[in-house]
Amino acid sequence: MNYDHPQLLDRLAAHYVLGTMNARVRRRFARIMRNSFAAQRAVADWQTRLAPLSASIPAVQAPGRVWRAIDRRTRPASAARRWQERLRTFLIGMLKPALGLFFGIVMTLGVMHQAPGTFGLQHKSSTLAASYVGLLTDSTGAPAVAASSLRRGEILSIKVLKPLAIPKHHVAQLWALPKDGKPIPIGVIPGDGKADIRLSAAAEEIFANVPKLAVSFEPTGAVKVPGSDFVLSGHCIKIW
Amino acid sequence: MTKQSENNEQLTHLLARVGQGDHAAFEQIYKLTSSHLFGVALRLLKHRGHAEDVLQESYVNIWNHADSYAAGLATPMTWLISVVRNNSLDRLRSNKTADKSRMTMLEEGDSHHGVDAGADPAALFLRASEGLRMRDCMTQLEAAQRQSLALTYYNGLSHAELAVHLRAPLGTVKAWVRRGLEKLRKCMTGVETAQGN
Repeated sequence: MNYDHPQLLDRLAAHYVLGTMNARVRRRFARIMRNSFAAQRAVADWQTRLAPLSASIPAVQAPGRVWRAIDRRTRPASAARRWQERLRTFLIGMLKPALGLFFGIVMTLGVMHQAPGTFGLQHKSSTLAASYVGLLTDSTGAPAVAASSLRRGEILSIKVLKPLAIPKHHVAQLWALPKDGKPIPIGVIPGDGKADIRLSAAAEEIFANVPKLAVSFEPTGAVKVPGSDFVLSGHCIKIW
Repeated sequence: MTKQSENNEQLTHLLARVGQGDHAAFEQIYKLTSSHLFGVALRLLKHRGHAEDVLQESYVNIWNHADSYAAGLATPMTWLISVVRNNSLDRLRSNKTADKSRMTMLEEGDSHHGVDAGADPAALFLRASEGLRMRDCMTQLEAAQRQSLALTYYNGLSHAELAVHLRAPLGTVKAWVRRGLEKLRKCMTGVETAQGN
């Protein structure tokens, strides 16, 4: 089934939100949604359309035991917390250097293995400088674009891992999606190969509260807001 | 600023704080929203114990994933309702024994299941549309389409369960749901466009 087809995605999203899917189809669509920003957006649109239907459902006071159980699971009891704090202090004091080294090596090796060309790290360094890294995937979950910038750098390095089929008279626009607020236009990326985008400020100022990046195809010319669905999306993480 | 947008703004602010691990903000969200969300879970599951479990699970999800809430995609209340509805529907669909018992219940024409389910779905559907911009869209639906959407949204019926409940062929009820949704989408898109102009 071709999940890139917007009409099919819209229909599946509607059935997912309405709740008519059986368990198997529901699980499959939930898996697709995890990797597809277009599917997430189609679902969010239907949630917005149908959410007003919940307004007529009578509110019912939940028994106090529900909150107490939630509280226990989200905020450990004080005795347990004290133990955790002691353990944490111990770990930080005794094992922090060892753990830091271990995770540093694992993370560095992982990133270097995934996209060594993007970061220019081959044979140069055994540690990775504090950076922002994004890996954008297409609707099938395949890695398509890697983006990285030094924490205080003003250059965002782009490597296209899977060539983009950019429509004629359009450009591939990269967006930063902040936790709250509108998408921020970052720049135009090429359909293939590598590029460096000069950022309007230090990376930290732009990406500190940006958990996700996305790409949409926009008509040539400056755009301030996305005018079409995102074709690629992925997490933006801090490496330090 | 309307009351609704004030509430949304307050919830957005609280969710942002929860995303940073602020437990007091989390407790405030629970106080503001748990009655409505418990009503939503109870409506779908029709079983107090199951609804309490789902409510608990949903708020733990909200605590763990508040930082992934995307304000640009949906209002905070829509997001919270979706978390509870998804957990409720997953629970309904995952329990095969319960499914069988639901099918028997539907075949016997009994839509209640141990807990007072409140108003029937059609009445809830009409009440929800009153005063909302979707009212005109609801009236454009045929009766069978409206009934099918109401039964699936409020009672959590799958296509197969809907066919049993309405004593109609599976293909027919699928078409009622599909056409009902298509009409709703087209109509609401038109309303949004008109409001945007």
